[in-house]
Amino acid sequence: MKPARTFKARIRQFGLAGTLFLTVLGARLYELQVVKGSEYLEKAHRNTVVVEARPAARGRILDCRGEILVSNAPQFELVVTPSELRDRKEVIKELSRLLDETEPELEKKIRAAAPHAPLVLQRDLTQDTLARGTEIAEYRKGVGVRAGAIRRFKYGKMASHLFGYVGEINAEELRTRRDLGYAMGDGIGKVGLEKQYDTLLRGRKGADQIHIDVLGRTVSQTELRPSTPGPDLYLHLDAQLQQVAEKALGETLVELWKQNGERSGGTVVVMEVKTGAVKALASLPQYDPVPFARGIKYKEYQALLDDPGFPLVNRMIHSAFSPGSTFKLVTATAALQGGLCTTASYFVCGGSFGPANCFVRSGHGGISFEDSMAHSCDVVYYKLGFEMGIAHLRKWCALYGLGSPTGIDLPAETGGLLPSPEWKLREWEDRWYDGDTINMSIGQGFLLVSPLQMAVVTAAVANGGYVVRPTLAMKAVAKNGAVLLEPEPARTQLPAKPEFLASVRRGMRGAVLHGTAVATNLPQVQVAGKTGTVENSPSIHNKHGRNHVWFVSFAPYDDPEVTVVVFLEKSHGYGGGLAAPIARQVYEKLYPQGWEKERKEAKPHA
Amino acid sequence: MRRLRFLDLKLYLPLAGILTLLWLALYSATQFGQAGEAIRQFGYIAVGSVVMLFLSGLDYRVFRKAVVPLYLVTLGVLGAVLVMGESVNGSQRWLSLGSLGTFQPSELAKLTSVIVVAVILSEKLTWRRAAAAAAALGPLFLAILVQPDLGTSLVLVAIGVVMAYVAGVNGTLLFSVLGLGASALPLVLKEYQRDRLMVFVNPEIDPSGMAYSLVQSQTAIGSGGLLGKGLMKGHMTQHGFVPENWTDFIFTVVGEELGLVGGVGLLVMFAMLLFFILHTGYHAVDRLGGLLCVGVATLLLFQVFVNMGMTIGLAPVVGIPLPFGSYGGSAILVYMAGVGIVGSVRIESRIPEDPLSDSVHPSMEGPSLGILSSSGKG
Repeated sequence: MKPARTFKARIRQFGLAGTLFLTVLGARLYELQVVKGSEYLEKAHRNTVVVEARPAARGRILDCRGEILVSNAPQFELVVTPSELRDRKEVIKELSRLLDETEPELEKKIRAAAPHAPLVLQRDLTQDTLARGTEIAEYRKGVGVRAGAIRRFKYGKMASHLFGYVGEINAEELRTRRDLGYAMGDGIGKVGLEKQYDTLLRGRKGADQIHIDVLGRTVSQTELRPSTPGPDLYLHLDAQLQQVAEKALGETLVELWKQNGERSGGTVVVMEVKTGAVKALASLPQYDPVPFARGIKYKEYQALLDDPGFPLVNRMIHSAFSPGSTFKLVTATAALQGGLCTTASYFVCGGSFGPANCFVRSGHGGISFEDSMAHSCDVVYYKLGFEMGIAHLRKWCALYGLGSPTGIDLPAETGGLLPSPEWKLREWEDRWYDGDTINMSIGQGFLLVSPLQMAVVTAAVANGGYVVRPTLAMKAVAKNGAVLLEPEPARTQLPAKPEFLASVRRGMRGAVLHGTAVATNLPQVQVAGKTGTVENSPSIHNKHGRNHVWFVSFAPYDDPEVTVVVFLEKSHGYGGGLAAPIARQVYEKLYPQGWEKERKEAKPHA
Repeated sequence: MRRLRFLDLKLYLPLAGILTLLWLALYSATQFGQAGEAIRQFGYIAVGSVVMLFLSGLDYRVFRKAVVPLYLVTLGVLGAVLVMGESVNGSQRWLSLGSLGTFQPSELAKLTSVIVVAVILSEKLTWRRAAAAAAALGPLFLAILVQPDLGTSLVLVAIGVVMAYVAGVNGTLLFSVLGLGASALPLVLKEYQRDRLMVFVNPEIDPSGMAYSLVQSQTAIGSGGLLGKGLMKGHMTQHGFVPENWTDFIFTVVGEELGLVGGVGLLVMFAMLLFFILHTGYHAVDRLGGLLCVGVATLLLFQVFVNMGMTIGLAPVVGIPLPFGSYGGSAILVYMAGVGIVGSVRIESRIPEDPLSDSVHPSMEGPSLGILSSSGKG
């Protein structure tokens, strides 16, 4: 078909419009370059005064005694300035050999970086790498070696989940934090306390004003503002106690590994019951923070991800498990408050309740309310749970803080799972059965809690009904002595009658004296506790369906100070046999022989 | 290729000028740091020239047959980039070709759109054909929009609208639809795209963040003055004050180092190229040839205006490359292929009609549907 007249007319219109568009561009160029040209020329020369940030020393982390746990050490790092590189291919080849990274990887890193700023390729160079790197820097323009700081960890892996690590800021983090003074190439806390208190620990960068001449040479450099180092962060953590807890837990885990042929994990938390101050928080296995501090290599990171013990997971706050019989603390409180029984009630356990069996299959026979706690009689709690119903039980779970994060000063804490009939309908497309309530009343079934949440529950029972917020940070003190941070203990009151909680405590004391937790029956301090054993079905992460075990406890019984909660994942065995002995070692450290006498001497006027 | 005897050099001369000027700018911007890029770009230009001459020698009417496979291949690679594309600056636009570099399917989609619309609208205009053209562009447009690459998807819209207009679709109707579409734009924009628009409206709100590029590029161009600072001597260019000046901001190098003379010179060369393309379309022997030329011209004009406009504060930063300038193999190949097709149309109109043949081109003039054309009545 031949072009029509309209067609040609419209091409002419297009030509006219195009001329107009190009003319507008030309006119704007004339305006910028001729009319305002000299103005912009001046502005272009002003551009050569650049303000460069001067890094601040990162704040240290100390324990409650003032022992330095995380500090800074000098180190050398290899940097390249992409725009200054000549013979790029050759340089990359040399660096690839030196740093044990593939050429495409290095090429990619350099290509992605800002062209005129030094890019750190590797921190914390070894002697050999440093020597060779300095050599290369001599004859390769754009390659350099410079001094910097790296995090140093006094006790190596100890509490690595808790401290976390610092890494280079990524684009996503930068986008939301540009206003806070973060810039490309900055270090930023990625997990743990380093992340939680990053804005504090990083201090304040100083600034240098640098004049650059037309050829790009530095003419002068003046300090505009000195940097302010980050403050010292003191923790409630007791490094000695943390070591004892990690050692006891670690030894048990090694034992279990041999016995089960499978890696498992565990946690120990020690917390003051009245304030929520966390004195030890161990989650094993943990990882070595050093590779993270110097910039972890892909291979190393992949190895950590593939580790069957999941060392990157802080089981204390990132994971949630069935609480098992330790949940009876909650069921018991709910039952007493709901008037379903009294502290003097007497039950008969025949070994089962409907289709649900007791922990002791043969039955406990006649048993008092408090002894049901001591001997972990499931039938009593099946009955109580069935009678109170899910709504009442849920209410008391929520009051104890289950289902929501405890609010500890660590990032990415889980709230666990507090199930409800609505939740079950949504997730399982099935209604809530009485059997679900009965299961839940002994801590089996849908309910999931983190070990830290159980510590808060135990603390509330021990301190007479206050749900505390676990806290690691005691205070942050600037170099000039100013206290920048001092978190107040936070707690909410449980609407529970004191005598009911006292009854639960008596039951827990009974477990230690003549029940399931005799392993913690120490002569020098009265411990009260509750064991838990979670039955599991085989799953992807637990192929043999081994039991998890728990031990929640507090001491001293008559004036509770601390709670110790131990959890072992897929350990097999029972809480009383595996978890309680770990708590015992912690108590022996906390309350050595003659501790009462020592305290009286230390505080004669108290 | 006997047809190449009728090749008209006039069409290719301005293009050679543009390529030379922009290659020099790229060389200047990358002489430190990415020195290999200019050499690689030279290779792309060489390959592009071969492709261009090949397409000029080919009878463009093969696209009537080739259009369906071309369309399906384009859709396929656009899909592939969504599934396994490499991400640059937060959007997936590239396919890795190993040592050959990367390939940007959205560039191919621009040329495919021109060809598809030209073939569909080359026959007598009906409602059905207009709708078919829109329906064919739709999937390409969406696949690019979700990458997300707003800029390129807008190029497709421009191509569709201008080609439909020249093909005879009622102008009032067309621009009303366009207006409706534009008013829906704020709903589909991503946050960063909205930010860019905001910054364009008021660059002072963020002088060191996103607006940084805009302020710096205007400063660089403005400081070039009438004659520029001389090639390789641009102070801001050479010291990295304009981010990414070897890609979307290449025009800042021309502006700073070659001044108004270089900038307007480039504009004039683009104007000449566009003139010859439209001239070719005007004298094309059939509607297909005419529409192909109009499509290629739209592609070039829209991108020149938006890209240059971005560097001098006349258009927002939407990531549209400067034709023949912005670094990247697939882009240069696609634009040179476009000019190659125009060359084929031009050759066709220069081949003398065979006097022995009586098969004259059918002269069915004009769209027969009055509602489709406002000027059809005249």
